[in-house]
Amino acid sequence: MIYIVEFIVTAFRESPYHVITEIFFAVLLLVLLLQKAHNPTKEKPLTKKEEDELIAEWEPEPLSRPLNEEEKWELSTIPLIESKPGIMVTMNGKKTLNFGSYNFLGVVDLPEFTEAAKKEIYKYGVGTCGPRGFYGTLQIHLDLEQRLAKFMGTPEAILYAYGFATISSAIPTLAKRGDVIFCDEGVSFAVQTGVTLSRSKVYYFRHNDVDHLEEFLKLQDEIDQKYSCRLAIEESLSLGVLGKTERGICEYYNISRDAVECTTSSLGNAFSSVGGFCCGSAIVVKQQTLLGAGYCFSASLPALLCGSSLKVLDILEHNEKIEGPDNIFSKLKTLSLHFRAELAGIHGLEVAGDPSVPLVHLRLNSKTSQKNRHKNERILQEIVNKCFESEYPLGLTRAKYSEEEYLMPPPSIRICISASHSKEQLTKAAQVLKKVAESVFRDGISFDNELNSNEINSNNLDN
Amino acid sequence: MGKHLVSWFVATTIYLSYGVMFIFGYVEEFLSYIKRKVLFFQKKKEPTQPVKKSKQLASLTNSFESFYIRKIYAKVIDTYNRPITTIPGTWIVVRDRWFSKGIGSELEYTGKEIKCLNMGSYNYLGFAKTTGKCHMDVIKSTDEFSVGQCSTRLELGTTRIHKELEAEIAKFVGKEDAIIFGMGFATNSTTIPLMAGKGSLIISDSLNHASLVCGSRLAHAQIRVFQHNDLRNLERVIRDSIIKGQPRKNRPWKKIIIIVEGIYSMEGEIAPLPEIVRLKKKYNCLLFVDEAHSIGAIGPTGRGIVEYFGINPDDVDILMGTFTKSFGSVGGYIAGNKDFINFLRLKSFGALYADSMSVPCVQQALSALRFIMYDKDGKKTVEKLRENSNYFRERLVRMGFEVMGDFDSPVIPIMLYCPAIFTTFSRECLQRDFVSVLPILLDELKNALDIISEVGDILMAKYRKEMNVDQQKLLSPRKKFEMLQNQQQSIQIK
Repeated sequence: MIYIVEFIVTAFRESPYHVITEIFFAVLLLVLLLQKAHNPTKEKPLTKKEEDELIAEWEPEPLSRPLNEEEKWELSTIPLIESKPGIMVTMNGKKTLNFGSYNFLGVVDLPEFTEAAKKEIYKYGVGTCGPRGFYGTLQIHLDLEQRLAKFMGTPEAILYAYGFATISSAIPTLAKRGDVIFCDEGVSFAVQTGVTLSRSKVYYFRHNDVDHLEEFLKLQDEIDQKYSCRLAIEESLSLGVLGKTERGICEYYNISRDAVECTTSSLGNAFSSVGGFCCGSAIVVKQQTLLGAGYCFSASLPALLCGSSLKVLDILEHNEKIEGPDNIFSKLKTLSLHFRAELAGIHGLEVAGDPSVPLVHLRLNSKTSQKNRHKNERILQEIVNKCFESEYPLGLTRAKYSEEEYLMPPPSIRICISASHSKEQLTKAAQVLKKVAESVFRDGISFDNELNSNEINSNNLDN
Repeated sequence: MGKHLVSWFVATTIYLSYGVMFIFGYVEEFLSYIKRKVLFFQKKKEPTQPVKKSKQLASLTNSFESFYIRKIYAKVIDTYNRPITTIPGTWIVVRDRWFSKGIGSELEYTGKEIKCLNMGSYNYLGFAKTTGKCHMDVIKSTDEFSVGQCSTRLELGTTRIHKELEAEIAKFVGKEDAIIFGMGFATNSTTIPLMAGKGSLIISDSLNHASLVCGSRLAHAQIRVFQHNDLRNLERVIRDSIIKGQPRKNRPWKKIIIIVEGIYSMEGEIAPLPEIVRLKKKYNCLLFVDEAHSIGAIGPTGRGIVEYFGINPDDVDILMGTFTKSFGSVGGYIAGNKDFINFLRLKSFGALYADSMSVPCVQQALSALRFIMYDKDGKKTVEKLRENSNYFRERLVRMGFEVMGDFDSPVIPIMLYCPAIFTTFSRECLQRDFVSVLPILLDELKNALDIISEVGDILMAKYRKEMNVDQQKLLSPRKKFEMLQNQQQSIQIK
């Protein structure tokens, strides 16, 4: 202490102004340090009156708005079905040749199909009154799961009460936050829902582009060499359609089902029922019995729908023994090729899809397609309406999609060919379609903004 | 519902039970690990080919989940997913299963079939039967329309039966229009995303059903949660949300939707709807009520929680319900104003992509609904359900069991807490031909109560036996609401 004082006194003698300046700054520093810090971000809390004012000022949107003209028109195009969705269907009061229902196997018209469902109604009633965990597991569920597992050649299978809920519940049990999913751009909306719910990192690769997928996989390989990928396939439209014994895409390409970890399918298409199932290894299926939201927290599949699905399995197993043109797969392939050949040269439309597949999309070609999607839908609906009103009425539908689709498909008329259709029916249908398309693109259609034939054909850029 | 206080002795046994299960589980895991290592060392003695290091699949579960499923859940697995071989009516036949090699191993069927009194299925009004007008209507519609429509509602899946059911259910709940879907779960998960778009807020009860949570997650809206049935917390969450606006952007919310359930399926509690409606009106929010368990089950004519409390249906914006419980069918509906329902008809994922509801199921729901609405015995059935539930609940409370939920609710949870107790309770009841929807005959109810009392005594599960019966607990929410209104009116008069 004394040393410091001696030092200051010596320094003062040598340069007094320096010491005075230093002392001044030291005092200033002390004063600044002792002052309260200024915190600009700390706000005064709002008073109750101010809060109430803010709350009173808030004007929310109403729950819904009235439909606009486009939406009203869309609603008016939904037909009223008044019969079974068999080969012939009564639509809006008229009997038509059905090309809109996913009745690929043609089982809807078979009396034994309906009898199988009625038998279960007599035994189990309609509803199961509970989820699988609480006395909603009927013996028929276990039977159907065993039969499906055996049919698909996998160790186990699990049933869901709804096709849409199947894949959207299965994916979140396989992949969670922190996992990676590689998904085709063109997957169905149910798969997209499942992928969103899983909260994993998703990479969409271009539709059917295996090279693009390989690029992603190579990148993933560089990040982490430890783990390989699981493969999951959604076979709602390929089960019952592809493969010599209708076992789906693996049979079509002659690949073992063991290469696929998880296969899901809806029972609403070829099986003409309602519901869905997932099959795969024991661990994948067990995971879903414990964590699948659509399985654990929902009432189980009604027995009548199980009964009808079992009957379809019987029919498919019977079909295995049939060789030649009467085999369902051969029939479907022949009919598809025949139909597409008959449609060749159709005015203004292009026929999309694999030639041997019984699902045909009729789209507007590059000359007739308009920029405005709604106008395209109107043109296609006009074709659908005129086919309905023709001398040989056809029951057609446009394919309908949500605005939330990842990759919005172009507007189209979806035609489903059934194994019960005959070649003559398909020939006549193709002739009707060709005639109607020609008349629509020749005469034009009139709606609010009068679309004449020149406009349709020249791909008008004003809209 | 109030805190559930159990005595120190009971609390200790519960913790002890879990502790013992976990300790034994970990010990078993350790022993299997040792066994694997010993076998590995034994194998190593033989000359083997060098193993190529190949890629393996990542595990589907994390290590704790895997342990829990194999060592804890595997021991109680026989009490869940019990298969039945008959219609889920008053009496059912359960296929007996037992562990093949000691508790925790694979289940196998013993070959025995046990006929039991069914109080485990959601068959509230007894429509699970194979006789009567509903059944005949269903058979007729199966012949006419087949089993599935092979299409979606927007394409070729709409029949006149669908339209009739939509019109009737809208009339039943007091709304302009309704739309039906083939699965109750999908009704919520495919329509909530359309109600709450970007810039909206969903305020959801903390104990909401998985389908509501799923639908909320798929929506682009933000989600906030409030404490179960806690109105002060709800009001605070609403006020905070409106004042602060959207996070990061600080813009006001486009709309706020409050999602609650009529009756909570796991707690048996009825939501305090009059107060929620008052809050909703005060703060200009929208209200969605999921009546999966309350439609057809409460209210003088079974019209659900809105009728139960005497609220105007226009005060609740969206009413959702299912046909699974009170109508003996499957599927769900959403009822609201015409514009909203038309919007759902065009844009909901369920209408665009999901299979149209199976016509026999639609017909069953329609016939059951018409019975409740127009038949002279319809109202009586709903009354009987209420009487049975209240009688059963009161007897259980007086026996000394810890019973959750409210009076007038048909869901009656008995709290057992301890894993050892609830597993043994289930097994003992099955041995006595009773599984834990209400039967219609009073004798069967009394029988069931005797069985529950007997098993409860053996397992010392009557946690409230020494305590006095809380008189407040014996009042239903409706009575409490009426008492409150009378108090308020008498204060005003003074």
